[in-house]
Amino acid sequence: MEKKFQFVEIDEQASEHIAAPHYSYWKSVFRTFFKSKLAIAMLILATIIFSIAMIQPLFSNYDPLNSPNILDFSLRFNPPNSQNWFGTDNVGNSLFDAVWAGTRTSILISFISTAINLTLGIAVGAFWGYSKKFDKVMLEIYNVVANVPFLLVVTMMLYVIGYGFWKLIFALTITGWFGIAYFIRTQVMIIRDREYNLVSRCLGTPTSRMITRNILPYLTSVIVTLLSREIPVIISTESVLSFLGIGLTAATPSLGRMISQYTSFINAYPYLFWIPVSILASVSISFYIVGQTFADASDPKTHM
Amino acid sequence: MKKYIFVRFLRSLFSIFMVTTIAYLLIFSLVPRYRIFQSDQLWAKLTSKPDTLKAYEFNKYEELGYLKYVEQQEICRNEFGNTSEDYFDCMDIDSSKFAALKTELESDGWVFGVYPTTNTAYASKEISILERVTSFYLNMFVFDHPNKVKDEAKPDLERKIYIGKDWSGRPALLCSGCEHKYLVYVDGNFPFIHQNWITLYFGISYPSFGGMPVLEVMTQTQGEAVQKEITFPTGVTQSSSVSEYSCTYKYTLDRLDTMKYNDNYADCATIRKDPSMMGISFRMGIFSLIFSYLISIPMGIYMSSRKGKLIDKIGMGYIVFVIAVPTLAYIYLFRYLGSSFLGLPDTFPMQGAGSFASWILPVISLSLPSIAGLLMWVRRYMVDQTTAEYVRFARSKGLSQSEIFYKHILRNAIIPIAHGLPGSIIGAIGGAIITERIYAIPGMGKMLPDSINVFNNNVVIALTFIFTALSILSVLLGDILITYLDPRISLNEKGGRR
Repeated sequence: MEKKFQFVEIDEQASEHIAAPHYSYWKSVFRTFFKSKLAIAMLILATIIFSIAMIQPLFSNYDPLNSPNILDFSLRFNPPNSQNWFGTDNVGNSLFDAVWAGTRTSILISFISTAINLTLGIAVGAFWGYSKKFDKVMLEIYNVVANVPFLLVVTMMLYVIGYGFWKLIFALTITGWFGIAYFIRTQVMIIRDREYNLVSRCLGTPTSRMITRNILPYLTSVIVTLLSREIPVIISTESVLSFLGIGLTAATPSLGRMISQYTSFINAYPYLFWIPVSILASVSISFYIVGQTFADASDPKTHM
Repeated sequence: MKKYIFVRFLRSLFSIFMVTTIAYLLIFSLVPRYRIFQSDQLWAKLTSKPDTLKAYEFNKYEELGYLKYVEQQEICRNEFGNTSEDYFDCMDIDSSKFAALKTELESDGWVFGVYPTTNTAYASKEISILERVTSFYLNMFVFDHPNKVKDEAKPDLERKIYIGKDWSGRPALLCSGCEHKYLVYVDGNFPFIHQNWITLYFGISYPSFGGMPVLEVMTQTQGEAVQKEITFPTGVTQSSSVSEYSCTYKYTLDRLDTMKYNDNYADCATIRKDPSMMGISFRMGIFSLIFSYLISIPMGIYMSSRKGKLIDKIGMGYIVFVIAVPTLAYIYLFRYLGSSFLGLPDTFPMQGAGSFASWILPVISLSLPSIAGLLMWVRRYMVDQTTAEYVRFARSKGLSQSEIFYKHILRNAIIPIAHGLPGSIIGAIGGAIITERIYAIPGMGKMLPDSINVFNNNVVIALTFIFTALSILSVLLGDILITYLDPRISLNEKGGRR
């Protein structure tokens, strides 16, 4: 019996060791994210759409101003077949090429605009929530900007500066970041005066470090939520503007303009209208659901 | 409280003023001026006649307030009269008399040019953008008064405001010497008492609806003229479609006018079948506001009482759908569903404004986003309230579930409902731009992209002003409304603002 046990020395270090399960924030985020089957499906859909939209137009060289098959009547209004997967339109262009070129424009515009809006919004919003003097001035400006319909502001800006890819992005971002900044401001105000921040300030942490180290990490899930909302909003606004004939020039392929052009064929050649509409919808939905699930996953409360 | 509302009102006015001014400055300094001619067909026809074209362009610019413009003839006539020897001298472009006038005007900022074919000169002077903005606001409110009409042919025109009767015998406040004959009048249309005393003026509309005042474009009735048997003031009975209340002073009367009217107020608008652009848009907005509240409040309450059940999931799915799916896609989807399964007209003009069916789909389309927003608010609020302490207390007192719901929670829930009102109005304005285009509705929302596409600057400015004013005032109204509904909310408390 005594042989089964051995005496050990007292290990001072082992008693100091605190046994906590290993926790990595980002690992937990991804684990929670991949629990959702819908999110995985949407992630796959988003990846497929994103890759086709980025790669396919490089090979098709689709140009909305150029219709090489315009004289070949046999190529007009072909329903989807093995040759032209999405069929052909009223001037004999392949709808497949047109749709992906338009999707590429939509995705690029929404990604760039969202990036600008979020960066500006978070930077200004964090400072806005932190500084009381700045808050007074910004609130006055915000009260004017926020009460004017967004679509009206964008339309007016485009009318003034003219149409085009970068001009559209400019119009979408000139007041677009305001809403995000206001949201971030409110969030920052809520956690600004919590005790750990009070202590931090007493210890002499500079404002910039307070914002980047103490406050913003707290807002990760909020920011991801904003991101996933902003992308559909921009995609929707872009398509509406192109639909109205404002925003992009005729040289830039666009799903919105395609939808507006093909509206007249809605009864005779329904595929011509519904394919662009459903692609537009699936781009937006997949990005939104992926973003929302990721936002939920990035909230540490869901990691239990 | 009153002081606060007054200050808020002034601030709202200031906001409207700022937004409109910025829009005005940007549009008139950055949009290339010559673009206004792009869709003018008369202009396109004149391209073969360079002189007439030049004169036409400058006349239009002057009419739209860009510049002042005179021809050589006018310069000389002003200086020397119409018939003198000097006048004919001056009409020679190389004469010393004209050269003297030219240098004088040039030092005043006028720029001279020469017509290529007739070889006569013209001069133009830019009006600065600040001057233009000022005159835009100064001319915006037009007050009618008895000394308004200056008619040289009628020096003894009576100048008075008096109470009289209209053609059908209803009392009205009339005026002689004003621009309008009827200053205040009563009729059967909402809001029943109307006035012509103060009118808004936003300049003239060009190139679309050429020459008409912008506001008239938006407020005049549209469609076919409505013919009615009318007895005119002279006693003549005729089938006509004139709207008596719109009559304004006409300087030169023709034979038909003297046959029908006793006085010079013979310039009358025509009554048409369909409401005006403004009327259609407002109706659409109000219907959709009512519709979205009618749907979302009961639905939100029902969802919160069945939290986590199927109906709640369907509602949440709808909210996600509206946020995630582009506006264009879901409006078309609903239009398709409505027209192919319910047989509703898929464009507005198919059955016109007179038919109830043509309003259904547009109003639903316009309501879809605001229903989602309101649903989210109502549901979240109701869910929060059901765990509040006063509700638990009410339950422990033994009140029934429905009593708690309708007598306790709902009264508190009115507040966020009222608070969502301005948001819905702002949303409806943005939505109208899309919906009216898709359903081809002749309203103000469709007017905005239409005017932008033809570079109709004055209409764009007017629409910006109207939409901004509506949005900003609706926010003000929403805030005032909640303070009346909930006495606990005080707006003028320091730092207590939203």
